[in-house]
Amino acid sequence: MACLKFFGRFRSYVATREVSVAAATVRQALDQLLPGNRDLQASMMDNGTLRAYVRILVNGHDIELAQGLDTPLGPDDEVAIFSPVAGGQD
Amino acid sequence: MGGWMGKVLDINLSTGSVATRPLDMEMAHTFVGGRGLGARLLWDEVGPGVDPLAPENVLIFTAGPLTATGYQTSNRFSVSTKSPLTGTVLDANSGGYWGMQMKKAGYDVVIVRGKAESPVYVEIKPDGAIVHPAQHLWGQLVSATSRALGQDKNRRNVLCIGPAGENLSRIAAIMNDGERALARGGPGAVMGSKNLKAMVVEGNSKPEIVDKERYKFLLYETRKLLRASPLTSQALPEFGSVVMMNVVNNIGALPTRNHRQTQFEGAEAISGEALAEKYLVKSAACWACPIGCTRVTRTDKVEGEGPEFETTWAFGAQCGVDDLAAIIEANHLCNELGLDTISAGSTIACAMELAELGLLDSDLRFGRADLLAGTVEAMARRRDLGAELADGSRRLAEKYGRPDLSMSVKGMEMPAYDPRGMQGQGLLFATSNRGGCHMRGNMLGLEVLGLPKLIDRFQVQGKSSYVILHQNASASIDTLVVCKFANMGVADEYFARVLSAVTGVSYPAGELVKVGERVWNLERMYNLREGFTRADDTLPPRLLNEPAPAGPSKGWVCQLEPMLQEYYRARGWDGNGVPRPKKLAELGLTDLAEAIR
Amino acid sequence: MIDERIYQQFVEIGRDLYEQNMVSSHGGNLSMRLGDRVVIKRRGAQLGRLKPHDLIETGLDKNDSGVTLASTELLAHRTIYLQTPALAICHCHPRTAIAFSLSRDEIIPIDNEASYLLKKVPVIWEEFASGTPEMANNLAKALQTYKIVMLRGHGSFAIGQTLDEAFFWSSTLEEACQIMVIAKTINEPFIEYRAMSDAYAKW
Repeated sequence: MACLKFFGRFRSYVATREVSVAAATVRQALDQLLPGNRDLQASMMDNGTLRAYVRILVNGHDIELAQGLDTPLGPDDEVAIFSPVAGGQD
Repeated sequence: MGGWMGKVLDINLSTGSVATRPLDMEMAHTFVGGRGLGARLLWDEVGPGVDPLAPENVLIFTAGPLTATGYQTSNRFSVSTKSPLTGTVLDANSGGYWGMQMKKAGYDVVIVRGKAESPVYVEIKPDGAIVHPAQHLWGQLVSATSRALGQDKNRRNVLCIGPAGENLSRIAAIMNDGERALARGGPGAVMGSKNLKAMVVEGNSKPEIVDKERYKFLLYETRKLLRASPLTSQALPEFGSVVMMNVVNNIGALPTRNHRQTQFEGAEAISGEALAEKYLVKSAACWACPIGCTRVTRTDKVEGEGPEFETTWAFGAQCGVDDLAAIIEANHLCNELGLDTISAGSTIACAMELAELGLLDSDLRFGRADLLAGTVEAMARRRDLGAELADGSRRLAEKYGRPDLSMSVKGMEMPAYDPRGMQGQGLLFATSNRGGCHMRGNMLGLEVLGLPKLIDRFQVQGKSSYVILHQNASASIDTLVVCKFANMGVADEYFARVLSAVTGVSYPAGELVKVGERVWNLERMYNLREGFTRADDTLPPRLLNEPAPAGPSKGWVCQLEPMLQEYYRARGWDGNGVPRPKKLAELGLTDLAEAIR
Repeated sequence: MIDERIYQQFVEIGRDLYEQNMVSSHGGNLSMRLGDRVVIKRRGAQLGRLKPHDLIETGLDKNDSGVTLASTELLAHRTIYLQTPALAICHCHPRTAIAFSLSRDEIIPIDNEASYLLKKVPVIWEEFASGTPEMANNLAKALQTYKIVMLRGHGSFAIGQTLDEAFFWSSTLEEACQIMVIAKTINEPFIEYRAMSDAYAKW
């Protein structure tokens, strides 16, 4: 089970700031959480791609320098979701 | 004349004379204002061999051509002097209202020289300045001083020192408009050494704007940009700069317990989110700023502005403290006493480590939140152990035989980013002209936030290019003088066009960055003239030799040497970090080269 | 030895350029400044299929790579690095932008994104559109003021902190020009929707 942690404005969109998810990649983890949360979805995604300014770290390493949303997740991995900014603005 | 007011006010506290003279416009065009103009004037005024706390040192307050125009964040100003903490060239800049008012009074530059026989304050008005006795204010806290001298929003503004500056603490700040600070490098001690308690300013004019139509368009575009950037329109107003705490901690670059670790288990408790939830009253802004990053916070004991990210880190993770209320109270005290929070917190952390090692006789230990306030007070008043901490961590650590335990560069305590987790930041700290400082470049955008694009923070090859660009660009912003938070939403090409529109002097975007490069090289020459060498472009041994023990940066040290060599070459300097004649000629600084021969 | 992460940036942007029809098979060029070195595509290599040996590292002031590069390309890139704050250069052949450059001295976008980001793109002209110091100097001078310029009939030069950024300006320009062509085809009166739009021409 990977642990997703929300920071900054994202916290206002989720009931608990930490959520455990069983998923093999970051994308799979988000696919489980986002469809049920419209605000979170809108703040994080723009037509299926991650919005600019949203940073996702797996164990402290930015997924952009790994495999992006397809970065694999192992058990006990920590996924931090930030944007020191959040919310949509094009 | 657009932007500049064209006047310099020169105050001699030894003789009591006050004079005005025209601003050298060629110098102004070449160095623009703020930090650039200040450095150029300092080069002439204060040479090697001058003790920073002697009357021969000067304080040069400068605004820039954009200050007071009403352009977004055009409220900032600088002070230039020789630093009592580092011995290097120093500039510090601040927001609020004072700089704006100085220009309204008709001055681009106010120079203070000499030393008064007894405490004084200076009152600056459009027709000149008057030196008043200030014995009755000596010893007063910053807020009381400001009130006594009539601090009044954007009409009458007070700049002063607190007890720390009076006691010549080398980490004393100059405070303005209550809780804004010209903080780093000890300018407060210079002011205290002159027996100058405060400067009050009132003005009634405004800088001219040459191309009003173009300026209006740029105001509009800037408004759009600041609104479009989530950093300036949401994150900073909502959480303040402390929003960085969880970010930097999560990547494993948050120095903890005097840089012994790179992650702090208590980061959440002292984060921007926690601050917003528990202690935030409202946000506030400097003059002409739509961002509003200032926090107004309240605990059981105090209410006031701040804390910033760096402050919260310095008294927090760096001291192993996760008590946010105690940190807020320590920040408040620093504002009242006139102390630089980064240096204060990191010096206390150094003392904590020395005490834990049994070298320093003190109750200070990592995590002792309850001792923060008392220690800060003792530092400002040079009481007991405070007397040993009042001059920063380097002097403290040297005294106790462990200079390696001062987390400083050139004597200035480093801020909240561990170079073992951000290689570029390490190069930045090692090469900053005023010492270990993040405000002279900051690789946070590139190495962490992905602005404009994420660069691998562990990458070493080519890193120097980015550091140099950011050093040059941020130096150019320091000449205008606008706020670096605005720069997070507004690219340099806009500032260049605003400068051109306001002054009527053409500054292509590349030219403005070149002004920054010129200022950087001038500052470098100043330090070389003072006797600094390549050996001073370094980091504490801990960061070069002790791998980060845990977390995402585990196993890394800062690989400074290869980056530094590339840096010197890329800057057009020789292997000793001395600007080559060709580079100096390119920047119009050839006559300075004589001084270091 | 060029760091793998840097090589990857070239590969990705090169591929994007080719796939978006911003270059022909072997045309265009990408370069980066690393300290006092320049990394640039080898003459004759394909941007859409870069291999490690397709990137040459050479000096900022002179070519010490030991490889005969197209001296035409390299001079312009080095001059730009020496005279501007650029850390990356994207030179490509955006078709629609090139077509517009044939009949005007500046391209002023009409779409929202490009108006916001670029405002105005100057077109400069050189008799010998590659290789001479005069051309390199004029190009560098223009890039001191603008982050992307057109060389009439030839292509665009864009600068940035990263290849990604330089590519962004290039791609935005081409998109803007395609929109302009479509608007011309639609041929209906333009409804100005941007405030203070007459200021774009004076950018």
